[in-house]
This record gives sequence, C-alpha cells and structure tokens, in this order.
Amino acid sequence: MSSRRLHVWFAIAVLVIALPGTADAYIHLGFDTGGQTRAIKWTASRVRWWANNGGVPGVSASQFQSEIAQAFMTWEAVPTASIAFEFAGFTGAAPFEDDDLSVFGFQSEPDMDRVLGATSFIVDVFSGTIVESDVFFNSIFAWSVSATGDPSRFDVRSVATHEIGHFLGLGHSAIGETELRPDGGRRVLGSGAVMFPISLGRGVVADRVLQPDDIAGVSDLYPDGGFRDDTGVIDGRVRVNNAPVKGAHVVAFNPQTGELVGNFSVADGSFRIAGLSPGPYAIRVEPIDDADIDSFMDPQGVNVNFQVTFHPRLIVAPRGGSTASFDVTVPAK
Amino acid sequence: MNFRRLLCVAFVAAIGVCRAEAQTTSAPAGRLQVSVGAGWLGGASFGEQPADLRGASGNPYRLFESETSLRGTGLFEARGGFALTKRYAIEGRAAMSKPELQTVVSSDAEASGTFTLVESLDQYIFDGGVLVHLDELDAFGLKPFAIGGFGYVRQLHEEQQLVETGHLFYVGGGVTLPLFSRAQGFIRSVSVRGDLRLNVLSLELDEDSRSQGSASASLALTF
Repeated sequence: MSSRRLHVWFAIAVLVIALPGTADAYIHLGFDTGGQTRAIKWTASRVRWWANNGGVPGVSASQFQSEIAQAFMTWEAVPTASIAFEFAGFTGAAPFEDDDLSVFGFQSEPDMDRVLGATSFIVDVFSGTIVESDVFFNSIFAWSVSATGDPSRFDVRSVATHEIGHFLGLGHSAIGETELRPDGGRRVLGSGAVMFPISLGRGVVADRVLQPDDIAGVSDLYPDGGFRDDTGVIDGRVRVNNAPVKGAHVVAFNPQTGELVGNFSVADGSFRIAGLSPGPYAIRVEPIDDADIDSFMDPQGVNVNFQVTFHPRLIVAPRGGSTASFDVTVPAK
Repeated sequence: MNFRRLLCVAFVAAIGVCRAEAQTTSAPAGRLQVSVGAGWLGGASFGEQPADLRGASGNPYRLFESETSLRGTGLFEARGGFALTKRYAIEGRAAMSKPELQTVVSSDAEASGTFTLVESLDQYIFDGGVLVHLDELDAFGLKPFAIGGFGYVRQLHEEQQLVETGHLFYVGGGVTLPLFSRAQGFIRSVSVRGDLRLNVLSLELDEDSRSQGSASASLALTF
C-alpha cells in the first residue's frame, strides 16, 4: 500500500437478522482528511472487476460470476447515472487483499456471524478516488441463485446489488422499518431501498430491483448529462427547541408517485436531498431508531430525542436547482 | 322599477345610458363583447397515495397514507368575444386563481394523528372556444348558451420554485340576463352573464387528467 493510499473497510454491509443497522437514504461514503469529509468514488468511466474462482454449495463459480454481472448491470442501467463495469476475469485472489484487483468472492468469516457480506476500499486520500474495492460474501451462510428465491438461502444477486452500491461509494439508506426481536436483533418490517442495511431475509429477491432512493443516490454521485438539469434538490435544516439536530433522518415523499428519497441532517442541522423529480413533496423527519446509529454515521452528537413529524408545508423541488433553505421544527420527546 | 331595471341602473349608470327596450344578448354579427367577473373554482382530487415499503413477505409495509387535493378557491376572469353570427360567437378568456394544494397524511407507522401539509399555487388559464346562443330556450328573461373549447394552463408553485404548464378542455353553459341594449352608440348592450364549466386539465407533471368545476358571474358589454 502506498503512502497516499488508505485502506477503508465498510463492514456494515448487509446484516442478517439480528444486528441493528440502517442508513440514510443515500449517504455517500467518505473519510475525514484534514478536518474535512471527502466522498469516495470511482473516476474511471469503466470499472473492472474480478470474480474469485471458488464456489460454495449450491452456487458454482460461474453462477456466482453471472449473478454479480447481473447485479452490476442493474446499477449500470440507471439512465440518469454514468458508470459502467467490465468483468475482467476469474482469479485465485481473495477479497480484501491489497493487489489492485477488485475482487468479488466467497469467504468464510465465522466471527462475523451476522454479516452476509462486506465491502472494503483502497482510496487515494488526496482525491477520494477509489483505487480498489473488494466484496466478500460470507460462506457460513447458505446461498442461492434461484430466480424466485430459495426460502432456506440468501439470494446472491440481492446481496450483490446492495454491496455494489457500497462498491460505488454509497452508504446505507435508512428508508425502512424494523422491530426488535427478543434476542436483541431486529426484524425488517419494510424496506424502501436496496441500500437499507438489514436483509429482507432468506428467499427474498426483492433487492434485485433498485428503488428511487438508490437511483437518486447513484445518480447524484455519477450524474449523467441531464440529471442535474432535470431534477431538483431540497435543502433545509432540522431544529428542536431552536437548536440544530444532527442525525435526523429526513425523507421526501412524492404524493403523486409515492417515491421516497431521504438523507440525514448533519451537525448544523442542515440536510440536502438531491435527485428529486420536480414537484411538491411531503417532508417527514424521524430519529434514527431502526438500527444502530453507527450504521450510518459517527454517533457523536446525534440527537434521537424527538418525535416523528411532518413539515407543515409541501416543499417544491424545482427543476435543475435547489429550494431556499427552510427549517423543520421537530417536537422533543 | 323592477329588479332588472335596478341592476341596469347599478351597472350602467357610469356610462349614462339605460334603456331597457328590445333587449337581447345575442350580439349582432360582427360585434365585440368583453366581460369581467369573478367566481369560484372547485376543488380537484389527486387521489390517495400510500408510502409503501417492500415487506419481507411480499406484501407492502405501509409507512403512512396520503391524500392530495386542490382546494376550491375564488377566481377572477376577463373575457373577449366576437359574434360570428347571431347564434355563434368565438371567445377567449383569461382567468386567475390561487388554489391551495393540500396533502393529508394519516396512519403513520410511528406518529399518531393526521398531518395537513399545504402549498399555495398561482394558476393562470388562457382558453378559447365557441359559444352557441340558445335563445329559443329562454325563460324568465334569461338567455341560455352553451360553450366549449380548449386552452393553456400555467401553474406557479410556491415561491415560484417551479412552473408547471399544461392544457385543458372545457364544456359548459350558462345564461345571460340582458340589462340594456340599443341599436346605436358605442356600447350596444349590457348584460350579466353566469357560467358553469367543467374543466379537464392535463399538466406535465401529472400522470392523470383531473376535472375541476367552476362557476362565475360577469358583467358583459357589447360594442
């Protein structure tokens, strides 16, 4: 690893049944450097990836490669984003080796018994450019490539679609609802984004299809020609008792289409939701309560002591611009 | 003095003439008519739209429900028409209103009660069409007519963040109450006009067309 390269693990990935986890709509992954947070992304227009040549029971190496390729195509097909991928070949290299190869493969990690998969990065700390990104799938679980899902196994393509979101530089989305299980874990009641951190479970293939929040996120990170001109941004601040709220999950709901896109407020209470179709939106604000806060951000200073509320005005996302900033006042618990 | 004469006095005193003989509202061919008035633009429903998440079972998990509508509001209008024949006229109209877009959110999975969210719109309609006088159906001195046409809609969202345009079709009808007419002079007749319309609007950001009724009354001058 060269001195200007930084190895970053985002071991949050997809958590199975028990661990809390959630993330905002489409927070971008980044790292702190010189007091600033720098988002990470690929700068090459075509990203090459390799598949490990090992399979697991029920999934051969070629089936695994085919599912990963399909998952990449799902992201590549987003019309408002400009990123493309190329399968470079099979390799004996394992994920998480610093070898300049972006490798997808199975790996047994018994200690990570609630982690289906995870993504790591090597980034250029000056530019934020991703140099290498590896994804592992935990082979302690049973996997499937069935088109309709196998009730006793996790779907490779669904998990791959989620991990490729990280591979692109996206963080977790918090558009989802969970409930606590007796063992302290969480069960997903509903998920509104592929990038929601907790799996829908065995046999479910729903995460093969990107949701509006995922599409807004990747388009904002890799905008295609007309994306900025054709969509709008909602800017605002969340406040409680006249003080800024950090870590509020803010969701823009389009009452005409039902689409949900969200993001988090930062330390000064400000939030920004981009990639919205022009039109009026309902703004819903909630505390992070469906997963561990650190699934999304540094928990330091995050305020969860307020009630779910809606801003009393419909906010109009303009075409090709941003709204004037407005304050959403939330009631304290 | 009967009620009609009283109205006539009220509306045309300023122009200093008031004769109630040979009253008619069907302007002779080639005459120009202008009118200004006010009325009520009815509401329109955009329907219900749930915020559904994907559930593990395959059934959606409902985060909350919403219902959106455009609230009824007052409108102001100005109209110009030209009589092609005694029976048919063409006319154009400009109308302005300020309806309120309202979304009511209910049954939130994590919040109790309902939330009413609003936004003000400035709506401008420019339309034109055909008016058919149905004088043969007159009753109680009221002269009925039928109208139909199409037009252009322009909506400015709050703080002019977004301009939405589209088109509309309308059909309707109404009656005119003649107040005064004469064979010569700059102003040939004065009448009160009442309109009932059904507008079918299609805006660029709406997936569906929506209907809005309107009622208005105006003072019409024929030159």
